[in-house]
Amino acid sequence: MSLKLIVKSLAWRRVTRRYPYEPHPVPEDFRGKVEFDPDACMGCGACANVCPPNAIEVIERPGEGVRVIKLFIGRCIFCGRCEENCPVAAVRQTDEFELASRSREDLEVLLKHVLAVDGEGHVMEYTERELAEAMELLATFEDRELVRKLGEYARMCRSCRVREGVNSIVKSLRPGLGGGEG
Amino acid sequence: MGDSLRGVEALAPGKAVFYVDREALPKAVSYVLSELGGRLATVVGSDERSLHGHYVVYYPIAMDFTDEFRVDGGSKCWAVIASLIPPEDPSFPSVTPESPAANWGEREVRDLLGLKPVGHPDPRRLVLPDDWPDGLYPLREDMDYSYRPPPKACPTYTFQPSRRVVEGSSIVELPVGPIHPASDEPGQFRLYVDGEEVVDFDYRLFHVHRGVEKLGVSRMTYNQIPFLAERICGICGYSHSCCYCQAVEEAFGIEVPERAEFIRSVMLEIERIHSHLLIVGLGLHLAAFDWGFMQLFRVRERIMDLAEVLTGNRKTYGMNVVGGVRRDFTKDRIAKAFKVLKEFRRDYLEVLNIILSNRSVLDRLESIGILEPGVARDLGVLGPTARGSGLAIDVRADHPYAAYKHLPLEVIVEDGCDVLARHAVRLKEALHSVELIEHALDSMPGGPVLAERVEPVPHVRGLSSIEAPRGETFHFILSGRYSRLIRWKVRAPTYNNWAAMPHMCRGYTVADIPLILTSIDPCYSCTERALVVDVRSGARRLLSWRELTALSRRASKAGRASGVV
Repeated sequence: MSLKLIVKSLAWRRVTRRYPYEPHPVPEDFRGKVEFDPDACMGCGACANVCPPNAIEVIERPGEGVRVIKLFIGRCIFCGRCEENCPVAAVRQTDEFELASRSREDLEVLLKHVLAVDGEGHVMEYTERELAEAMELLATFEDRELVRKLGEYARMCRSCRVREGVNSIVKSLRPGLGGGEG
Repeated sequence: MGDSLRGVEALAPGKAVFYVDREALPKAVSYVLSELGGRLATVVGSDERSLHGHYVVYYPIAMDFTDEFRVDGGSKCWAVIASLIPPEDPSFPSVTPESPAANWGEREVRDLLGLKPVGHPDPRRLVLPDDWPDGLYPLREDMDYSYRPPPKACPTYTFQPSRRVVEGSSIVELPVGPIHPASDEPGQFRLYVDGEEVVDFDYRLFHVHRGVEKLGVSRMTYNQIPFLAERICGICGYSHSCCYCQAVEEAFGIEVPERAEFIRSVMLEIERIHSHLLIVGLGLHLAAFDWGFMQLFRVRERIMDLAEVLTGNRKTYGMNVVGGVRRDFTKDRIAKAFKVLKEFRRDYLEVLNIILSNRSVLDRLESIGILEPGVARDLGVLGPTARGSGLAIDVRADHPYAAYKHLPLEVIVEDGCDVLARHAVRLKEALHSVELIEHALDSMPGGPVLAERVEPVPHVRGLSSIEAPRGETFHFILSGRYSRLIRWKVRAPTYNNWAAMPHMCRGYTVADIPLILTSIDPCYSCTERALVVDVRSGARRLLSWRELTALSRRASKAGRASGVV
């Protein structure tokens, strides 16, 4: 019995790997550290909406005219829902898994996005890039009049848009009256 | 009893909720359990005041011990006995005196929702910590999930032996813990010992109850919860996320593509293999056969690699979302899987033959921790623990889900009723799982792996169960508005299996206890320690888990040397 065990044990090779003294290869499509492409990201926050552990946050700072997308890798569970749901393919999971760090800042990724400003200098509720993306999408529509109208609205801040909307409703109901300050 | 029936709600083919007057609960539940051949899965309490002004208790019963109730000759039925509880009098007659399987479930409903089971034999807390304020019920809708009551000094939990222990005899109280059973919950045990013989057993678990259900319904959308569900268990996480998704898919009426169902079955079987090999390995370690322990872990590693190849990760695969799976199996990965499985089978059989030819180890595991089939059935025991006692219950066969109706499934049953029988079920199942995976990979249909339309439906109920490695995992959901849930109930298999532990331990020696504990497959950490109290002298002695383990291993070795165990 015992002899059999020893013989068998010798026949099977050692299976322990020498990691960390040799690199540990990861499989294809490994779900590792999340990386943002700052040039592609438009700051829409779709990733934050689907993130199960709230590792991605959207921080609005209209006073400074910016929106910050903040990823805290310390909370990340590497599920990759952000990668799946990004409309502009700006999120990617890398092969990196050695993420231990002594400082919290090392695990934070901040992306600052400039909020768009309308014709009257009001800060809008979406970023410049979101606006540009929307305009590009709009340009593919057939109806030129609709494109012009929507484009106009899209370039207004929220309160201007509400005022303009009310005005146009009033105008359509009583053609003689329109044009006032709402 | 017919005039106590207040309404019937169909959930899905073969699944219905029967609403009865609360006074009729004990009669109705015990009738379905003992007369009709049901198996009580758990007890679910739910705060539905915002929906219809009442609390509800549900007793989901699977019609497993009868062949009478089947849907078109296939899947067995689920009968959920439920009752509305008025908020001004939150109580209901306890079912436990007639049906002991409801014991923990009703204590949990009392702790978390403040619904009082009148006539329940055990007034102690089950889930809530000892210093939790009275009258604060975490699962009520009006409690904020982020509220943390300040800790305070409080009387500690009283362990109590059952009536069989006579005061003033030579009984010694042997506390064991905090231990680390399944579902990542450390707990404490009291062994009542007469000399070497264990005469009774009591426990206190739920020391790290994480409030996962509350977190899920308060802070997450229905499609984020699969990722939380997967983290309920470090071993059988996939079965939790799969079970949750199935419950939601059924409630929302979502058609899951067939290919996704095959992928789910493959992953569930992979999980079963690595879970079974782990716990049998630990069992062999406690029986002082470390060669078997090491070799089972070595061959198990191939299965972990396979999971990594197929999903990108060894554990917490992140594959399930409501409507299907997120990753397809590519052709070259399937080819690789066949290769790994072939090598695994060869290595596993070789190791298995040596283990099974080691008579001294088998003798050590044989005839300890006896659990008779009748007791197992009364207590609602599940999985290999039940199948080791001759009960042929297996969710894969009784209520086929995922792709199991297409696979050549065989329910593996042993009738030894002892530790050896439970481990034998696992060893055989691991081998059978390889067959199932190969068959599934071979016959997998093409097509998409995710449903095209996934739309939440408000205010619908769904329940699902899955044969996880340790037994049936059960999930229940009630959806709310805005992609949220009102109630999400999770019951892991070890919850039911603990109920059999006092019975299994009585009459064996302290050195047998680690082996018996391991045989129901709880998770162990290395932080356990034990305290020995001599009731008569009051002397206390601290025993570490390592010492307790050593005791078991010494007993095994002594038996081997003398040739008798």
